Amino acid sequence: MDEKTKLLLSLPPLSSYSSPDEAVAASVDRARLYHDQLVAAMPGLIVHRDGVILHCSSTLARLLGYESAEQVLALPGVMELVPEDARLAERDAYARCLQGPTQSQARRIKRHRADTSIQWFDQLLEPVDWGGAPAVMEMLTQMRPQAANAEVPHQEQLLQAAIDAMPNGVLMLDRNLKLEGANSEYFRLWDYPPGLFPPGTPVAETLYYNHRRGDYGDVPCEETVAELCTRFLVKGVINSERQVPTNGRILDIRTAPRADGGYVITHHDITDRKRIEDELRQAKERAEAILKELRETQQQLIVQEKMASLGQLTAGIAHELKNPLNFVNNFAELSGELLDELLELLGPLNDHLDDAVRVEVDELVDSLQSNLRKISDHGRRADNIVKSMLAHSRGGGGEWQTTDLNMLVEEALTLSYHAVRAQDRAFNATLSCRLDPGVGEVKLVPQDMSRVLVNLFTNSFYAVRKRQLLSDDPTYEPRLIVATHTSDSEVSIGIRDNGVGMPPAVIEKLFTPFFTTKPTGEGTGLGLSLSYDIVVHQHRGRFDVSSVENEHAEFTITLPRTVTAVSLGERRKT
Amino acid sequence: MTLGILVVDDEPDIEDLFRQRFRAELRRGELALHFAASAEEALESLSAGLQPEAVLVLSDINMPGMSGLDLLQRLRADDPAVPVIMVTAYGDTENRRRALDSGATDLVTKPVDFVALKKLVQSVIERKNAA
Repeated sequence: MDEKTKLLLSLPPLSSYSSPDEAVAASVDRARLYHDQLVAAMPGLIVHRDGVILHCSSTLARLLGYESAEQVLALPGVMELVPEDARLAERDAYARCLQGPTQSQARRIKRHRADTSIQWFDQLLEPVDWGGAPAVMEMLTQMRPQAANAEVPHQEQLLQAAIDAMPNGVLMLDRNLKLEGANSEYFRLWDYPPGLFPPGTPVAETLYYNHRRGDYGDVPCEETVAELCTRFLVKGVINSERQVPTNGRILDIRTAPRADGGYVITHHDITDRKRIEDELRQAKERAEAILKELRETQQQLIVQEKMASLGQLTAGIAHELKNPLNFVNNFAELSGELLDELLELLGPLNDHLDDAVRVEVDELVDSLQSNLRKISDHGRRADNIVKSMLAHSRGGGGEWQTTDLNMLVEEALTLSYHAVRAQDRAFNATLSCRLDPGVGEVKLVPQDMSRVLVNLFTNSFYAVRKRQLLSDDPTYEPRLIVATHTSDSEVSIGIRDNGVGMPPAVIEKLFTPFFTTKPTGEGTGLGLSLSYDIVVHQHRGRFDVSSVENEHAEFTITLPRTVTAVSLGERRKT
Repeated sequence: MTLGILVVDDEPDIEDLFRQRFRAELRRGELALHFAASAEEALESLSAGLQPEAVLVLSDINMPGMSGLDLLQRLRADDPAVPVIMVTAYGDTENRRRALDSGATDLVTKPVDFVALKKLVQSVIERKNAA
């Protein structure tokens, strides 16, 4: 063995492969691996204009799983490669690219592979001149999880996953109020189609969209959007009760400014809470209304009961008085007759009396006759009072009839005015009737209601006359306004005069039997008490009074349109 | 011929009143007045027999114990021939209807109008005499 051979043998073998073929095969494998690695790391290029693919590098074709660049060029357009939900965003990015080089940062985007699976890329866009016209040059580098630059987009994905998982709608805005991202709940709450507003969209676009679909109603577009945009800048509640008409949701929208100048806008769905709140509020209002009604009814019942028992008492007293009064009147009358008979019998004796005695006898007889007359007069007066009192318990006096209420009011007014004028020719008053023709016919007891009205009109005339006599004002004009109103279930009669009015203390006792402000002998104090009985008990109506002293007094009678006919007497006996 | 009238009322003064009001008729002997202070007393004296016989009964309605309307019903059952005139302070239609339904000849309200009552008594007596 020569030196050279020894040397060669002593060296370690050049290859681990046992044969040259094996070594060649291994080299080819390695070369393919290196190539694939390189290709995966190499950016692919695609140039397009208006969606039409003008050029595609073979690298990109391979990265997308196509056999050749020609296959890619044969696609109908560049959008074929873009998954549907990202197309809006891509179109927007291409358009911005053509306006000039904008962002230097790579976008993390996804593309369809030939087998329709998704491949993520980092994308750089650049406008290029292609055959004399601008086109978009898109450089796509396959995303490699191990690479350092993959970390940042990965964080974004984590963030997206996090906000997607949130139960609230989240909208991320940059400092210029452009969308950075939003979660699916945001789209759901606003009833937007998914992907309608890709990142980079100015938030005003969403507001224009809302305006177009009529969320804000008929308001000027630009002003409304501008106003709403400013609200995003304010920390806290923007509009706690924004309603989305298309799905009926009510949103609580809040802004949280970020340190980098952007904003996180959270949308909280408060539809259910609002509904429950509304229901609770309504229930509360209902309960309060019922309580109020109950209180009023209770008050009314107390007054009614008081009046009813006073009325009964009055009627009872009247009956008790009637018997003794009967005797007083009868015996007074009889005594007069007996005195006359006595005088007749004694007539022949007159001649036997001396003059002085006869004068004395005549005087005594005159006094007796005058006394008996007085007893009769006062007995009759008492009898009249008793009769008025008995009107309270009089039963079945009037008939229930369907009556033209306005006509009844006018008749009563004319009757009262003439009665007052008959007693006092100097009296004049301005009467105005505002009768609602809609009142029409009402079922009531006309005699009784007429009595109530005459009583009220007479009182009013008394009040204005009294004010006229008391005041020194020559310009004072007595005035009486009578009005009728109607509603579905009720009719009302209002009587307003500008007379002396009443202080609250008088109003309080107004309906009490025997309460009167007139001088003794002028009023029985039973008129309003009886009126109350007729309106409230017989007709199931209401009697309201308001007054300001020396200004006005107003009486309002409200009657139900339908009422079960009852007579005062029948009611009492039950 | 003297006709007897029975007046039933719990007021004792009713006797003086009637005696004075009918003094002329009493003096002439046309009428004789009997009085009872209650319906029970009236029934007693009627059954015991009054002299002269009562041909007309005037009765109050409101009395302690048996009421005038009860008395009316008893009298209608016992002696349908004797006319009964009710005298009452409660001159409402319901009392009138009840009295007339129960067989009263008429109903007079207090205060009693004696001129009218006298005429009524006269007509009852005439009818009685004619019968």
